[in-house]
Amino acid sequence: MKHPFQIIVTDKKGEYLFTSVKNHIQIFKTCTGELVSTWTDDVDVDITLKQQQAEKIKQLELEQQQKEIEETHEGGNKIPKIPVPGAGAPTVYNYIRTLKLSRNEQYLIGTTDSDKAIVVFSLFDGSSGDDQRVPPALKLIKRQPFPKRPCTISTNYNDEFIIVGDKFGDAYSLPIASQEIIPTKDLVPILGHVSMLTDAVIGISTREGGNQKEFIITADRDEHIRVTNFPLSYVIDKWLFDHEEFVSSLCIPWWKPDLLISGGGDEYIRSWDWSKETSNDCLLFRFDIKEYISKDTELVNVVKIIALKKNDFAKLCVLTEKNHSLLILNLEESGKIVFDQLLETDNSIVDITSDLTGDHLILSFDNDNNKLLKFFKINAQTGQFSNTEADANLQDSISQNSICDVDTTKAFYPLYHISQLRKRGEH
Amino acid sequence: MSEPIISANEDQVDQMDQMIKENKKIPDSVKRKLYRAEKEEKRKFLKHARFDTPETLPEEITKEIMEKNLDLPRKRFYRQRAHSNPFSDHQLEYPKSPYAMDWESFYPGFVNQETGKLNKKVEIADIGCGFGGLLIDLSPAFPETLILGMEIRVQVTNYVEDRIIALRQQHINNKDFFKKYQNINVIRGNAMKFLPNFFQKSQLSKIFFCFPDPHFKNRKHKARIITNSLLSEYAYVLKEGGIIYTITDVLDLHEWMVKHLEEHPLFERLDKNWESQDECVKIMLNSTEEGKKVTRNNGSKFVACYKRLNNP
Repeated sequence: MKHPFQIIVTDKKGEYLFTSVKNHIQIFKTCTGELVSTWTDDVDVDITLKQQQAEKIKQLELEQQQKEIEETHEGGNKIPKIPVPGAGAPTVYNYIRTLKLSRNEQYLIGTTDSDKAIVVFSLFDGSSGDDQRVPPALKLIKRQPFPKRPCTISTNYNDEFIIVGDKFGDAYSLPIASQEIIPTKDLVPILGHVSMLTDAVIGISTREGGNQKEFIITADRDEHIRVTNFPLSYVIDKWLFDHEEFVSSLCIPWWKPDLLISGGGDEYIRSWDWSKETSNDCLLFRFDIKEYISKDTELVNVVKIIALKKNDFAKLCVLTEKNHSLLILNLEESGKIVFDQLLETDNSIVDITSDLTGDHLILSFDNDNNKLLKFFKINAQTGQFSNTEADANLQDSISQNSICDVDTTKAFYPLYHISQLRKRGEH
Repeated sequence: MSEPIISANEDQVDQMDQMIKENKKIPDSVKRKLYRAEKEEKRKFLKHARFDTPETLPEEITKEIMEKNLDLPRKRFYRQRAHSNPFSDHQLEYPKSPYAMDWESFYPGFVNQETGKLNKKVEIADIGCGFGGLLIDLSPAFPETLILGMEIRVQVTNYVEDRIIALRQQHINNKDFFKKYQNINVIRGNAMKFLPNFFQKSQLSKIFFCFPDPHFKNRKHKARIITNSLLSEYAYVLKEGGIIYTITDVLDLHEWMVKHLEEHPLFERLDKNWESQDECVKIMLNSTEEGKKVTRNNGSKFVACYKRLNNP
């Protein structure tokens, strides 16, 4: 049986589908279902533990040397064991946690769990720039480890820098094209939250005299959304206050750069005019999604929000965790959010992606019947989404072409982690 | 209100009665519990009370205030270990945003009688105020400025609350009681996580960090109160020209704070000459409990003050 796709990403035109399953990245051609490129992460899962062991050995050796200098040698030290994680310690999986295309779609950036690194792929390295007929190929150009597990990736406006947010609340900025690996101890964060970072997006404000100004917008587990100057990231512009639980997803519609959509662990999807002067004026609208989430989950856990636009139809797709339906909302010019339709599915949805216009809205599922994907297409006249017969074959062929097989559903890697962001108060 | 105002948990009282009957020595832990419970009861009523308008308080309380002074709290009943993990999800109460903060109840003496609102904002913050020594000395030095202490440890915050309640009350018959200790208050909170929930952009003119937890271990350094990323938050809540005050008896921590403040583009050090003339530096050197302890032990105190520069 095929393992469900954990992450799916498509490009602006919806020509290719970039996916992650366990430790594999695969690229499929959406019009044929053909697998065009794969990459497998073969780094040992225990690498961090082994590094710890190596460090300990080094330290012991140093101590030993010093002892010898002091001439108080009392038998050799034992070589320390690889540290064994205690009971209840989370399992370290060898999988890809995030996958992001650069804005110019020349690079694909992922984060790996095993060695807490980001992996940067150049997609069209072998081909001349103009030849768009050549399918993308995964060529790893950089593997940059971080001190803490990276969990969110973004690139700045002109794709010069990769913005990486980690579990410890720090964000880093790295030149995208440079192949230089910086030692983890020399990495300096550009900003930090005292909370886990959950998402980061780059915003462009044109408010001040027509000058384009770049900001980095970060969200965390403590209900915070922070707007910070970029690259002068020591100047904080504001916080956007209103969330009452963790924030897990940020989205700036591509046609409306001053608008920010956010969602997380409370029942509202919010829209913000994030570049306004005072933070208290930024909130535009709250949309209650409680009644649209599946009955057995009770709590709202927003996984992802994406925005797309076809003609005058501006839509938001909101995915909540372990839900058998995808919520489609209309996004009005004023930032007002209105219910549009609910795309019901047979299985729980793991991830969603879309091209800019909604001609390829793709859903990935948690199931054991090798039907891992479903394609939807927006109707240019009605703005409604539907699944077509032709797509059904495509869906199956992509699933069939996936190289990741497992014997039972027990062998599935974790597909859901958003609900874990909810706070469990200690005292 | 028929119940006695100052009452401990009934079980605890029974337990103590039983012990007295049996002629047993009452253990400290029970005493501590009872003391805390009693103070908790009082605090509920008095925390936000205006002492110049006793009619707003329950009758029994006013009677008690009029009849006998509230004693200053005794520190030994509020002891709590010196460290707290700033990264854990404490069950903290914090406003959803600085606009949602009910400051009126913290500074009742400054509430405009007609509008029911404060006509000024908090301007001085003492982060990790401990037992409140600095607040109490700053209060008369800046009688017209609202000052807030933030402390992460529950018992220590309770102590400061009770101390302020008692001080306010003790000065009720004083001619100028209206303002005495009405300009200071304390809040339990995690400043590292939630400072921007309390203060708006450019709201503060001074922030104090007095004898912060040194977090000696290398891997604990992110828990230090001065880091590059937190300094950006302090710069956000500080006015341009506002001042960060730091003092510690740990040289290593002093050097750490200086290093990070020097590295931050929005802060510039104020020289020794400035320090020697600044009133707050004087107060900071001599007023906190930690500072006094260091003096008793003939320890050194390291001071560094930085001015918030203008945004580029």
